[in-house]
Amino acid sequence: MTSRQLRKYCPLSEEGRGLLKTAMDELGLSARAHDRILRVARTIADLEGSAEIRPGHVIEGISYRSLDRKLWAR
Amino acid sequence: MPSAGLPKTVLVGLPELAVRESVHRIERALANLGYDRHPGRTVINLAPADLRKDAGGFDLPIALGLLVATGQLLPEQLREFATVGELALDGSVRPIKGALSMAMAAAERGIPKLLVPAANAREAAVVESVAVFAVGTLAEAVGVLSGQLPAEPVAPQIDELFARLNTYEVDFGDVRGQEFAKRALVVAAAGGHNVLMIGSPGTGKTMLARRLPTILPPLTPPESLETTRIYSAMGRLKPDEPLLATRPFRSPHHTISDAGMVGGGSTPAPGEISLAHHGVLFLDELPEFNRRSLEVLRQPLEEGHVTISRALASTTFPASFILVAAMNPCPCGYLGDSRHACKCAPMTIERYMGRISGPLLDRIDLHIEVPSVPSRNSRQRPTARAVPPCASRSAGRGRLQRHTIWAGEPPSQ
Repeated sequence: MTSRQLRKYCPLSEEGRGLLKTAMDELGLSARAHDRILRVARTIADLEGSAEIRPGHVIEGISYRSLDRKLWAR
Repeated sequence: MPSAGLPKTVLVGLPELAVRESVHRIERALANLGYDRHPGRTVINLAPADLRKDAGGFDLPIALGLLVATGQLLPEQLREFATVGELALDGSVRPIKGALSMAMAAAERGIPKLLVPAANAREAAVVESVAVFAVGTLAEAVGVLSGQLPAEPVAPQIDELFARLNTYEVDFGDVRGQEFAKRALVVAAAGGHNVLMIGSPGTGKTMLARRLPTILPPLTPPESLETTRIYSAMGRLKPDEPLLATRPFRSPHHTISDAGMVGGGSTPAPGEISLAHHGVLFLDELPEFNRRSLEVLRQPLEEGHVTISRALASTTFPASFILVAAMNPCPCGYLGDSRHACKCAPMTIERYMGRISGPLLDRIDLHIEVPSVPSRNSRQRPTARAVPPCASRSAGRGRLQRHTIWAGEPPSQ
C-alpha cells in the first residue's frame, strides 16, 4: 500500500492518532514503523468487520511492536 | 545450412558449453536413428547473436532444423510448431528445465502448437492456449510433425490438478494453546504482514510457522502460474505435481548464502525468496543467519520483487512473500523461561540480539513472544473452532489491502 492509499483507507480518529503519537514517542518508532502499525490496525479492523479503525485496533497494532523495543533497548 | 567445404559442423551465436556439446549429441542421435547426414560443411546459427545460449533444450530444434535442411522434413511441417528438448545419443528426448515458461512464451507469440519432452508435457500443458504435444524420441517428433504419427495434444487438467493438489498435510487447528501467537498469525495471514516469533526451544515456533500457509487465501490460478514458473525454470517440479496448487513454504537453513537467498550466479537464477513467491519464507534461528543474507531481504520485503544485476545480465524475479522469522531470546535459549535457568552473560545476549539490524526489524510488523506452554494447557483439546478456516476471508473492507499484497500490483489511484 502506498502512503496515499494509507491516508485514504486507514483514517484514524482523534483518539487513535493520539495513541499512535504517544507510542511513537515512548517507543521511539520510525516513520516506517508508524505506517506499518497503521496497516496492521487496518487488518485487525477488517478481521472484526469494522469499517473504521477503532482505538482498540491501534492498541493491538502497537502491542505487536512493543517487544522489539523491550528486547533491543540500548 | 549445408554449404560447400570440408565435412564439419559449426555452431555460432554465443553457445555456452551445454549448447556447444549439442552438436555431438545431435550427430550421434541422427546417425543412430538412421537419418542421412549432409556430407558437406554445416553452419548452425543461433539468433539473436548477442544473447548467450545455455541449455540442453536446443538439441531437438537444431536436429529438426538439420532434417529440414537435408530435405528429410518439409519446412511447412514445422510452421505451426515451437519445439524444445534435449537429445540422448540413442535419439530419445530428455526432459528440460522451464517448459512452463516456454509454453507461456509460445502463447504470447501466438504459436499454436508446442512439442516438448514427454516428461515435461503436463507442466507445459497448464498453458491452455497452446496445444502441447509430448514426444519420447526424435523419431516420434518427426512422425508428429510430418503427420505420419497421429497425435493428440495433452489435456490441460488444471481444475483436476487444483482439486487433487490443493490440500495441506498440516492444519492450523492442530496447535494447542499459544492463543496469543495464533491471533498474531491470523492477523499476519489476513493482511500479509511479516512476523517475528521469540521463544525458548520447543515452544512451537516452527509448528506455528508451518501452519501459516494453511490459513492464507487459496492460491488463485494466476498466482499459481507465477510461482510454478519459477519452480519450472529451476527444474524443481515433481513429475506427479506439474502445478503448485498450495502456497509454498520455504525454510532455508541458516548457512544459506546471500545468492542462495535472493538469487544470483553469472546468469542470475532465482533464490529462496522467489521460491516462496505468494507463500511463506520461514527463517528459523534468525540471528544465526549470515548478516548479508538478511540485509539483502530489505528490497524484496518492500517491493515484492528482486532485481539481480550481474556482468552478463540483469534480471528481475518476483518475490512477494510473508516473512516468518523465529529466534530464541538468548544464545542458550532459556532467558525468561520459568522452567530453565538462563546461563548467558548480559554481553552475550546483547551481541546475539545485535545480529539483527534495526532496518530489518522495522520491516517486521508483528513481534510476538511464544512462551513455553505448561503441560496441562497443551493437553486441552485443539482449538480448531477458535480460528475460522480461512480467517482472511472473513474480512470485509480490507479487500484493497489484501489485493495490494496478494496481487503485488497496487490499484492505480
